[in-house]
Amino acid sequence: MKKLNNKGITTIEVLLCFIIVVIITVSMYSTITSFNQKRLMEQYKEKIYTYKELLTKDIQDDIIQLGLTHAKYTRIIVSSSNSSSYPGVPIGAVVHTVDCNLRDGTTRQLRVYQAFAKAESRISTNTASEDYFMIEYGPTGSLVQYPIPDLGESPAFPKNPSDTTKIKDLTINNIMIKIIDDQVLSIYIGLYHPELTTRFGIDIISPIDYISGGSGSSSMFSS
Amino acid sequence: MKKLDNKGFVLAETLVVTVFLMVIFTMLYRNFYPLIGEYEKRETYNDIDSIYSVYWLKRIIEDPAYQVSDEKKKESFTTKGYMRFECKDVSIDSEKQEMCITLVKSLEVEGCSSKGNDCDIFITNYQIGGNTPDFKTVVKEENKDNVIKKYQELDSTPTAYINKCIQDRCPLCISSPSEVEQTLKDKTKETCQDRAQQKVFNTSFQDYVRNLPDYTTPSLNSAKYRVIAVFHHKKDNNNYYSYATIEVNKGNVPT
Repeated sequence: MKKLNNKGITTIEVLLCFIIVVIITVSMYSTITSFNQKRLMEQYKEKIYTYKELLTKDIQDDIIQLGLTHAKYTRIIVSSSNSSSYPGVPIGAVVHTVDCNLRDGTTRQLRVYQAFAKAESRISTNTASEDYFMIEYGPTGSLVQYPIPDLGESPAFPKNPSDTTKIKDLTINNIMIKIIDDQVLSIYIGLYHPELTTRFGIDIISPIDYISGGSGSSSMFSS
Repeated sequence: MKKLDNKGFVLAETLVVTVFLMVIFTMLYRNFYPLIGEYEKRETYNDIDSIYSVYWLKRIIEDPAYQVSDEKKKESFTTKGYMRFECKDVSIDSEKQEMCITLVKSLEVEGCSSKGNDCDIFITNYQIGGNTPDFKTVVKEENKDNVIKKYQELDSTPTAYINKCIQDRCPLCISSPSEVEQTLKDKTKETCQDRAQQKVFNTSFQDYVRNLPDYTTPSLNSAKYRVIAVFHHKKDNNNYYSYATIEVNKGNVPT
């Protein structure tokens, strides 16, 4: 009988290879994990950017193309007495409204709703059972909803598993709306995410009742 | 019995291959990782907020109420290739000037004084590279080290440093050399140096300008100028810079 060709690798070689593979895998693990986390964050960022760009463009285009002549800002809290005016909005929610008059005689309204659910991690007296954030914009009376991107949620009371209240990971955190000296409208809607912080807020600034004296025809220089 | 032929890899061979592979992986990693940082840096280049902000600045520059003097024109465009936008140049209409001051504050333009002057808003020729003066080269060379060097090279006569100071737009300069005493002179020089260092182009702005195209192809709108602005976002505990540029369609290039 012909003798089998049993040339192979030795046990030491197998062991060595195995150890090398393990070392490489372990050293790569943390890198791969961090890359995966980064990929997830980039996905979130892309969603926020898309949202922010859509809303900013819609508002700024109206202001630029039609011209903003006047702006008025109001802030109210939804209560049992006025809740009928805000169907679907939880009691306790803060509603920021900006009414804009445009040069063509039409009006635009921006509404930002903000209600934080009560949670361990928040210093809040709010009693809302869940987070509610919404932005609406459009001609007054026919507002279009721009729901903020859903980037997941976390338990509000991690130490109490029986409480199923959830808080959203992406929140409208800080709203700063100012009409400065009737000259400039400044709208800042801060979007907060625990991993992305507050860097992706919506920031809309526009002069009020600005009539440009002309474009392209005048000289920049006095001589 | 015939002895088995158990020749395999020797330990040295295995180690050599392993080390070789590790070196390759390390090199790949070291070259790949900075790309992520570069990408993150560019997120603030021409983002939507900055684009709309610079658009409003463009509108003010295009307004006939914005006029600059011949002196400023000559000093800026022929020697440096750029001119800083200042609200004091919106001089024809006082209401628009006030609005300009409020607007640059609200837009968080970097470097603006309380009167909307000295802002990091640069009006350049439409083409910013490959022409004379070349804005890209000016930005590259006007850095902190060069400014310090220039000051060190100045002679000690008051006139020289005061003129230099004025040229570098230090607002705290003393107007007349005869008023200068030694202590005051030293103090002014120090203040001017600090001020000048703040006003030179920092590395992140240099990076932004370097990444811009030269704009050698003429504008479709026949624009002759370009505005480049730096915004320092501080609202809501933020602290980051963004940059944007847009063409400006106004008048002709000064000669």
